[in-house]
Amino acid sequence: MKLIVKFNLVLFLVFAIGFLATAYVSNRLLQRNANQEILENARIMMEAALAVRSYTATQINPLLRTQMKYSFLPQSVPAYSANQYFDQLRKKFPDYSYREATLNPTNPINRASDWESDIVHYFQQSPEQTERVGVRDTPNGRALYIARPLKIASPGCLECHSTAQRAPATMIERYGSDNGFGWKVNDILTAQIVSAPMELPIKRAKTALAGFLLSLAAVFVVIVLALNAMLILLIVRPVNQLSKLANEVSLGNLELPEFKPSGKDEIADLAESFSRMRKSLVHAIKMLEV
Amino acid sequence: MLLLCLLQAQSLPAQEIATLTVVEGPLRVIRGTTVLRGAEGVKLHAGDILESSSAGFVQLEFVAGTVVALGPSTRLFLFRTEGKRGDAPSELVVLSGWLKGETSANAGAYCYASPVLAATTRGGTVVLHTSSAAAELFVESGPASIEQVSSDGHVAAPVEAKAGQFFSRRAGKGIALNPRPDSAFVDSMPRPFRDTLPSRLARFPKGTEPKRDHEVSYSEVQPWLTMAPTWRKGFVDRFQPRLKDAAFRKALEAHVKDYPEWEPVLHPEDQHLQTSPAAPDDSAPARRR
Repeated sequence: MKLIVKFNLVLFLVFAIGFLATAYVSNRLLQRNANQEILENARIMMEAALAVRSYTATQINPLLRTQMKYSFLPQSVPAYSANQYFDQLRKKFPDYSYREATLNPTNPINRASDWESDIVHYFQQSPEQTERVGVRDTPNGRALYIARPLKIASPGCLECHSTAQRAPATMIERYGSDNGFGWKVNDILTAQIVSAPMELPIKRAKTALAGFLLSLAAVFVVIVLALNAMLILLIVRPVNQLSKLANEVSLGNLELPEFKPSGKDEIADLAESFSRMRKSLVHAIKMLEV
Repeated sequence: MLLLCLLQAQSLPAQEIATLTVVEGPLRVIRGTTVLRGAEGVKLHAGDILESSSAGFVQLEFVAGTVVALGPSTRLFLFRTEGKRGDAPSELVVLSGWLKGETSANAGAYCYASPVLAATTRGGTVVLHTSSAAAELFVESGPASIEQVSSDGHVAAPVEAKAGQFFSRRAGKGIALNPRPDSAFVDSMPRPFRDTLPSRLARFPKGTEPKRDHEVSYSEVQPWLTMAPTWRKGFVDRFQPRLKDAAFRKALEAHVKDYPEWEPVLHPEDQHLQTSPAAPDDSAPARRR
């Protein structure tokens, strides 16, 4: 087996092992980073939704208070504005979804489903917890979610949610007097939940991994080509020339020109030694002939 | 001495009771016998009549803080001026159109009256929509007393109203009460009425001099001459100078049966023969309240 073949086989084996190990480690790292990125995005979205809620409660609601005496305006409701904000956001980030899952909502659209109710109950039972991250199976595949409790911090909320008698008449006209009442300050009845399909981090990680591995392979190809070129130019070719010369000398052809490699590397030293040995051999044969 | 007092009284400026702070579209202000062009900053006097245009919106703010908005095609008469707490309520008569009155808690009581329905409130807000034969009234906030108005302008059968209640009445019928306003009422209500009326009085500290347009014609005052007798008392003295205008006099005479109090002025020669029993006496005491 030729030297260059052996060299390339070893090089390929080392690269293959390194490539697979790198792919494995990178995949895990990229997956984790993608998950973290999605969770961070979700946290920012939640904070923005909270900001919109606060803006609605402190600035929009007072402006619409008189109008609410004539007809119900959902624009005065913090949960509505948060959902509207997220609907706009989803135009650019369609993979994310937002819910304000509530155990006893005024608007039935906000009623917590089974798994959402579990999350709200978790926050009720563990009020010190401020966040919960999990993965759940959905008909569309696995989904990553992040949830935060929404505590009723302001007595102002109770204007619409304490009793039907105290609530705006227009709100009762719209939603009836059965739901969304009996809330108390410091109650946790709602969880903010941002979900994204697990496919999303996996897809992101795969895309990043493919790019990384392709770059790695390209670098390997360049290295192999460079190493092969160097091997051929600096080792294989001079050694072949030296080998041919040695063959000719061994067959008695002593008139061949000297082999003079360029440079001062080990091959040059070998050629010089061979040249010296050839001179000594020629000299010894001439002495025998005399 | 009496002559001196009269001259002094005539030279005193009329009492400014309110300021026009929003005027969208042409606004006619009838002061005395003159029609003025309403504009933002114009000070209003007791007895002024305001008529907004078909697409107009007007806001006037009274000295003690009460803010009143008028919708399109609205006719308002500043019948009785703002008094102190405990005095008889200030009374604004809406002949037709839309009115929203946000009565300041610092002001005395205000009565927003239409030909069939009136609301008296102290610190409350009401929205009134009226024509000559029907009226609807929504109590937006605060307590209010809702009253039937008879054809002669007297009020009766007061009903204590709570915020959020809606009242309606057709002429000759009783007051109908609903816990919520009619959707047709809400839909047709001028959009700015849905909000709290913002005060703009500080922008007009000096006021604007109104531009005189023309002397009032008969057609312009005809609806006012035929409104309930209680509110039109004083109109004989007020519009008598216009009898110099032959067209005005002729039109007035043609319908004198609708306002018999003009008969003695138009035909003084008949005075010694007969008097009109239906005419309101200008010197009669103020209406019952």
